[in-house]
Amino acid sequence: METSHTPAARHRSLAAGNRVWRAGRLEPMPIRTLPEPPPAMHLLGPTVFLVALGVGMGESYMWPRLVLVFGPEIRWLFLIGVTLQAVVMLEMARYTMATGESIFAGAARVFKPIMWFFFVVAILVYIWPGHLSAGAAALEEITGIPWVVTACVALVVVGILFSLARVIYNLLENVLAILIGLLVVGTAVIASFVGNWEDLASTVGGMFAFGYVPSGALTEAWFPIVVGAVAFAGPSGMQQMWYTLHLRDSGAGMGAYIPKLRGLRHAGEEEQMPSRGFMFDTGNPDEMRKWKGWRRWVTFDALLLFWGITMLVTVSFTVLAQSAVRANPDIRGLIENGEREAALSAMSDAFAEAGGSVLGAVFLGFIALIGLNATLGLFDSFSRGQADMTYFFVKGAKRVKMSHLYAGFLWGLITFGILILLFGPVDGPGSVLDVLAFLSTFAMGSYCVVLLLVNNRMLPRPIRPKWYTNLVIGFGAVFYLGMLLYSLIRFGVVVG
Amino acid sequence: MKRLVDASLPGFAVGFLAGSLAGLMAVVVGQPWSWALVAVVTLGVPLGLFGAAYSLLLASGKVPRGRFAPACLFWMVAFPVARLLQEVLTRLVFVGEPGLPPNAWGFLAYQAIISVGFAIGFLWVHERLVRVVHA
Repeated sequence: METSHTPAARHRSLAAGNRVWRAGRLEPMPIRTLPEPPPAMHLLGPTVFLVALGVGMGESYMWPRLVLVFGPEIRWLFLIGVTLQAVVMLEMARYTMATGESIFAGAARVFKPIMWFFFVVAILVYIWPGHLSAGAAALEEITGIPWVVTACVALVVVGILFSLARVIYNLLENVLAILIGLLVVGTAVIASFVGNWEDLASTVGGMFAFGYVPSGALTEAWFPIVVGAVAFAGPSGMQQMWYTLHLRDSGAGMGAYIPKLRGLRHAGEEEQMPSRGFMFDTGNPDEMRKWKGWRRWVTFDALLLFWGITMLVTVSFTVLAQSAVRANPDIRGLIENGEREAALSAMSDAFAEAGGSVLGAVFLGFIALIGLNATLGLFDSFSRGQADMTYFFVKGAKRVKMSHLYAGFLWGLITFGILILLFGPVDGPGSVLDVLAFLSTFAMGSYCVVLLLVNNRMLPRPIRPKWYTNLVIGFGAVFYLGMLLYSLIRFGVVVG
Repeated sequence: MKRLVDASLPGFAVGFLAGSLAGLMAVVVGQPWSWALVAVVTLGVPLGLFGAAYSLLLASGKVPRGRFAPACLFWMVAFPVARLLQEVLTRLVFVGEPGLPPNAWGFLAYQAIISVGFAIGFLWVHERLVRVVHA
């Protein structure tokens, strides 16, 4: 058994056979056996949640927009952004697979107010139902049903679906896997119709034009947008932190010792939730063999499923945007001016002209599908994260089950969402929009700092990250926080 | 025979659905049924048959379950062939004589690259359906 000399974290032998791992000032983690890892080359796993949350308007609209404005060479920045997020994902997984605790609990072990900061940011940033508008508006174009009606119905359906589920994770992983599978398959089919070899070659080639920064990208108008697009390439805001909750519920690593979250109807079946996570014996070679297996498993997830699918969807949508502009040059102006709804609608029309109105409808169908995926993932993730923090860190919360807390946050979010859709500003009050955008980027810089602290101080030495991984995460912290402040000071504008 | 159909069903379903997306959406937006039918027959059926073949390879143990590389190689050949068939047959239906798309080799190379994405999505849905069928 390794004994760390870090004051914040160390193994300690209590009574015979009752060894624990002390991390921070919170309750120590009992030592348990690490489960055997599954085969590394797999296809099904919690990454589906991250893909559902991460593949959104940035991938389907913002990056195609930047390619049209600055040329395909700008895509090297996307490569950097997504690769950075893949490393962040691997580091988020490190703590959760080793302990069965969420990254929020890890943050609390370092310094509890950090966790409360994320609790508050989640509420401020994610209670607004604006994310529903793009997908529901696309559906309105196809069906004629007003988007507010679709959005309200979708909210209630999501609530009922999650409340009836026996195990929410299993239900959602199945639903999202099929929806994202269809999105990926459909995107490939439609790209195979409207794209061509030249578009694809220039889009992919542009990813390796390292150092290309057109002068226009450094202007007041474009700098915040370009930096925001890089920061939000893949998952943005707190989505990576929520991934640790899904990873735990999937039973990865020591997450196998934590009971699964159940829907409200089956809350009574929930097993007793332990008051902290667990640790495995990092001094045992066989345990370390299993740990390496788990790391290979999650690395496959990060590289092929997360990185690969995010890349595929942006490349496909960029090819689509290039085809649309060829068919109708007016679209370039709409896209460049940031008129999202009009641009998406015009792109749909362009595909309709190129391949029959059917292709235009298929394109809008995908936009709606992306919106639906994001909504399902977001509502579950938000409720899961807030319930986790409340259960473990609010005094007296353990008197109710985690499933009840989850249902409370879920239905609170749905009720507030419907009220705002009907009577309020869907993206949040205009006066605080900049604050919300600031918080979203600030949270990303902050979680990089948290990752460095948690993984280097709260884990046993043999499973801590290597120096080069710390360097990448450190770069992430400097990039997110540095660009945020630079944009504010230099241009007086928040990135995004 | 029933076992053969059962084993090939998940792959056929995913391939057919993917290839028929265009046709399904045509009906939604009020296009003539003939348009939808051509799309379904010319792309949905070939992709469905290739999908069924993949399922059978899986069931017979010739392809390991849940592995990406074999699926990727399979679709790198099958997807361009299916798209080429669709192009040729669509020309036959609407123009009256079959014909290759312009720059046929470039067309095939482009389709082969797109097939990698198709393979990921196909496998993702296929694995789910196989679980449901065998449950």
